[in-house]
Amino acid sequence: MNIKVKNLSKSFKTQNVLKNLTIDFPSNLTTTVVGPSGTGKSVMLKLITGLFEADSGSILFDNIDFTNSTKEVRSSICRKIGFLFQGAALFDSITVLENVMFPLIYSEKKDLSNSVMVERAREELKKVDMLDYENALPGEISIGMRKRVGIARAMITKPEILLFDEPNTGLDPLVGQEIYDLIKDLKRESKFTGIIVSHELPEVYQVSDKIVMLYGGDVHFDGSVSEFENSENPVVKQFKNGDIEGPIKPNQ
Amino acid sequence: MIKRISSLGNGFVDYLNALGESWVFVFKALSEAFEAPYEIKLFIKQLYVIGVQSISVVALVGGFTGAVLAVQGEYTLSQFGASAYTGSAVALSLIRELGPVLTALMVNGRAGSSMTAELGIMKISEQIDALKAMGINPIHHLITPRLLAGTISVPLLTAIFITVGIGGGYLVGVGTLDLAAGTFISVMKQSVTPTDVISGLVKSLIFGFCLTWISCFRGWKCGFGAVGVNKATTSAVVTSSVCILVLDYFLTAILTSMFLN
Repeated sequence: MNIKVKNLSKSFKTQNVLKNLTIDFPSNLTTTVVGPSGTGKSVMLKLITGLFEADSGSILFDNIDFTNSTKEVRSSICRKIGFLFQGAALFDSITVLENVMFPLIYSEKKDLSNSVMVERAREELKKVDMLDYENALPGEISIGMRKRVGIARAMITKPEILLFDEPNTGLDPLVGQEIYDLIKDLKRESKFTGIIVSHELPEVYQVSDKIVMLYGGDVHFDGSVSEFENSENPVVKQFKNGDIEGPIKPNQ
Repeated sequence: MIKRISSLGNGFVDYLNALGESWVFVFKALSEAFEAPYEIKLFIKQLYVIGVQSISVVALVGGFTGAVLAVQGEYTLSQFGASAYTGSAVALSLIRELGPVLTALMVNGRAGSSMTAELGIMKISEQIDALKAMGINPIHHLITPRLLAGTISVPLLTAIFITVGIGGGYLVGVGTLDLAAGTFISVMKQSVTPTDVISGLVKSLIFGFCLTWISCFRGWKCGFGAVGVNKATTSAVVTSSVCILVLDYFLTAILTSMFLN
């Protein structure tokens, strides 16, 4: 499924977070959106899933305008999206297995029996190597494990779109690499349009087909990974090198 | 001076905004009760959490309230040679007033605060966003079952409070104050009318609805971090308690003029 963000703007009180943002997220490719903290990357993801409403502009899923759609159309598009939240956002009152089953219970395929749903959830847990923890509560497992369960939950409905909000935040390099390996496996095994929001360079290159860089609510780079690596754009260069001096000012 | 007036004005506008939002919120939650899929399992779970888990504390408070009423009632009534009416005083006080109010305050402290904290934590840890991202209406899934369960639980708990309270009053009255058991029961039977019971029931229904509404709304609008959850929980308990006591006055006035005059 192709996603197009057209002239998208969003502000909170007096702060303009996104300004006329236009990005194309090609079908079955993974686009990574990078940029300094507070630049509107997560806000863009939340606009795409309808968690926030845009001030202006449109979001098109295969040319269907999500922003001006009915509740039913939006719900049906949302069900095609898998979302890994920054903190995994597992429901803490139910077990790991029930968390993974959850989207199936509320999916459009309501005819699935409980045993089929349990079986499917176990398959997804096995893929992320969390089957041994199926009866644990989210509070009883580590953040890295929660992210793996989050990925299993996102994948159980076999979504056409997968969104990852800072998949490696709060993880040590080894567990972080495990998450990237999982994303690579998912890309090999199934087709989906992926959007990753991250500021982990260069680690995120390994799972990206395309890079978009946001700064100050604008797009400063949109191209392939190799183009990004070789870019002479001063904003991109400063961000890649982590220089203090340059056009990027903290908290802007 | 102008700054102070302006900040007062802004505060008032914010208050009106929140009031409006809370009405929209409860209207949405009520309208979702008629939308499929009906969340029967979640409703029963909430009945258990709000209702069943509050039974012990409500019964304990009810028993001792009845006992205190018997002691105080007997002492006051004996000044006028009317200590035989202690049973009537205990039952009427519990059914009309103390049962609904104290049960609502207990449920508010036990279940209302936990509802606010739970919803607040779900909000700040993006669990509510996760529901929305899955195309699930969080008001339908989280708020409607709680609102219905809270509204139904409080009258049932009030009935338990009153029953145990009368039992406590009876034990103290007959056991330690040497009142005649038959007189205690018979004056109680004579003085309590169905309108007393209906007015107590109406009050407890309204209290249950209001405390769940306020608790859920505060959790839903919770601010960020631990401070946000803390503020939301404190504000929910204080607002609901004040609301219960203020409403009690107005409901008593209205119900008395309707039924008793």
